[in-house]
Amino acid sequence: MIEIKNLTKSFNNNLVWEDVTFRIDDGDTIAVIGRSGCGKSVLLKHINALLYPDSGEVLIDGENIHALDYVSQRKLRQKFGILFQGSALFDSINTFENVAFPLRYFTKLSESEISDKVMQALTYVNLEGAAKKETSELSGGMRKRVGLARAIILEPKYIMYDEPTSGLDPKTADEINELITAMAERLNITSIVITHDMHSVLQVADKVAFLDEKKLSWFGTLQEMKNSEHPRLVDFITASEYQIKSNQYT
Amino acid sequence: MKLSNEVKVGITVLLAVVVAIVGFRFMRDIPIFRQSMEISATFDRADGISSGSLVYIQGVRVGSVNRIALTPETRVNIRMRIDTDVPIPRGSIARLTSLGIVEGKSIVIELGTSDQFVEFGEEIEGIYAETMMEVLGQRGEELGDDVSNAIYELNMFLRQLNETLNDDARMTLNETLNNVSSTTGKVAEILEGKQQEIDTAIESGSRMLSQLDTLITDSRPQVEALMETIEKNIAELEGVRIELESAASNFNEILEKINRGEGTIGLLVNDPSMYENLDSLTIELNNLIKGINENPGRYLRHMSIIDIF
Amino acid sequence: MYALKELGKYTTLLYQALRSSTEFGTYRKNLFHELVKVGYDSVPIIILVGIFTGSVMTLQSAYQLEFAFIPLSTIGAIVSESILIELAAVISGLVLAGKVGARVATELGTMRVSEQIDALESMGFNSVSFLVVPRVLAGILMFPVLYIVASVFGIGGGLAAGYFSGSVPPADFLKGARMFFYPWNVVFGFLKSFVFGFIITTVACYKGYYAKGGAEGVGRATTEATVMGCIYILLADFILAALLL
Repeated sequence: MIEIKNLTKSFNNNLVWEDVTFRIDDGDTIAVIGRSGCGKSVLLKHINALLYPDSGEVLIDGENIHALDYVSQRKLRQKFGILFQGSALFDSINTFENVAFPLRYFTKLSESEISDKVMQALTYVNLEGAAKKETSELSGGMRKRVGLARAIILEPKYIMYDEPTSGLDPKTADEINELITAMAERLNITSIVITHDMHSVLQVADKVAFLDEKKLSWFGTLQEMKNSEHPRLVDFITASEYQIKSNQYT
Repeated sequence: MKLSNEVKVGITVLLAVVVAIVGFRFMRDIPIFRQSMEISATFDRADGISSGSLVYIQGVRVGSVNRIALTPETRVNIRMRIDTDVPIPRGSIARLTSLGIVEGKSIVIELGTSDQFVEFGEEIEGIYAETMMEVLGQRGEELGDDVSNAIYELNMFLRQLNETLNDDARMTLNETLNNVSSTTGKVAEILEGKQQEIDTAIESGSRMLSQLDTLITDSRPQVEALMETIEKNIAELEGVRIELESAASNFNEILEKINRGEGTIGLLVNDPSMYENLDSLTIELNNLIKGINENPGRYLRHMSIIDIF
Repeated sequence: MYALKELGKYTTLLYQALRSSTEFGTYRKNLFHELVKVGYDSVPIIILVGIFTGSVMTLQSAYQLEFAFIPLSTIGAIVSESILIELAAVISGLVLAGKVGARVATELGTMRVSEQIDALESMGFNSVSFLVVPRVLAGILMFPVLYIVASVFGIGGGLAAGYFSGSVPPADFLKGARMFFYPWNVVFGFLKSFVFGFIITTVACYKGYYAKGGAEGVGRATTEATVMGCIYILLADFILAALLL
């Protein structure tokens, strides 16, 4: 369970957002939505302490991650898997090694065990055949999936997706969305999805957090969102209406 | 063969370390692969020597200075590494010296003659040899004084010489020259005075010749001998004349030099005895000429034409 | 203000690196990778630099001293002393500021802007230990090694140039080189290369590690790492000479 309490952050006196408070229950999939530049990714980086807030706290299973020393902080971070916007694959090593990377450093598994686990993870993301490929040979969708495989390889309790569908064609985006849902169900992972793609939200989210006007503007379940009359939220959703509808009809 | 990163790093570092050690020993002139001989010597001072300075024997580089340390007696103990198969006899001397003005200092070992040899680490006698430059540097003042003294004395001497030439000596010289010229004048007078006698001699000669004509036939050999004698006499006269001439030119030269105050003569001129000698010589010459005047026959014995008869 | 902030960030990074240098397990593999990249891979260029520096020094000294009344061995002394005390360390430092500094800054900068550093951190890696420490260690370990290479090939190049041009016979060259060989100069040069290795790698790591702004930001980081690396090398050279000579 992740609790975010009264979080405030500014960069060089520019307020990003203030007083953000919400809770992520285990097993839920939370979508954090908002317009570009509203600080969605900044929020994500606060959750695993890549960034520090000006005030407020983030409790991971009751532990304030920002108050911990660096070593315990890193231990706590291993409860998270992150799929970065640009996948953040290590380009000096190939696909297999990218996925195996955390295993090599954080476990004492034998080479065959590592191989088994990596192939299993790659199978989850439907990339069995790409193990020997260099990362530069992969397409955008494939990179996302390799990133996902790497994110889940240490069997984290939480997984965070930073714009998982951005820059992908609708079909591939759909596949990624399916994977997110599948992961949540199959591995019983709590997911935090940062996105502005309403289609993705409708497909994967249980709850929605709407960041707007430098604060947490709205928070509720997916069903509540669909019925919400919050003007800016409705505005944000309807702006994506055409895309959603056209997707539904195909 | 594909090298692992560890192996590559290992190769690089190992090679560099080996090269560094070998290079270092090479530059310091330490034999790379064998232990070398070490000796030491104590000097009064060690200006210009540092570890690495070279050590020579008979002009051949044999090693280098290893360590320099001040002894409690404030002398300098220098240890040097010697790399040669030639053993160093006991009693050898290490001389700290410079090989040239622009070269640095080095140590030259002068081998002794003992048949016992220096052992590893033993000490030999050390002598600090001051170089030309150092001597100049250290004793410059002293030397400068000496030099200026010498120049001062030289100056004095020249001035004295000048003074002497200017006054007395010049007078004496003039007198000498006057005497010489009067002597020559007298010689000319003598010759003039004797003109008549010579004329008569020639006259009687020609008379004799006519008489001789008659004698020619029976006394031919005698006449021939006579002719020879005459010829000889004339030749001798010629020689005398030449000698006189060269003597006169020599004398001229000498006088010129004296005039210029040149050479040893300048010194001689200083000597009053010279003038006295010359004076007495002139007097004697006068006497001699007087003698010739009074009794020419005595001096003109070679011209004894009369004796023939 | 800006400069002070930079200095503070730089020092903090160094502190983090120092603190995490105990996590040998994290960077062991990277360390050897970097040692090869910094040391082994730089040997050819350093050999080239050394040879040319030495031979140019010899030819030019011989030319400049052609009419002076000095022994030929002086040229050997000038060349080998200059190389040992100054050129081997500084010129290879400047070359490596381009080669190593640019590479390190680009690598870290790219990893920063493509979130690879964030990815490492989020996996629970100490990214400073993983990325910065092995590069800085490789710098301070391998630069002295490269200094040796540069010195040997510099003096060798000088010797060869003197021989082939006929201006300085090898015997004279060596005589001078040996006569004026002071071990302290080598220690000094060694120390210099150590400091230069530290400067180049830390500056490049700093610039790369804190790069931002996409591809352009990486380019800026690379340029700054190279330029600042060179400037700091010259500055450090001056300071060391002022302090230690």
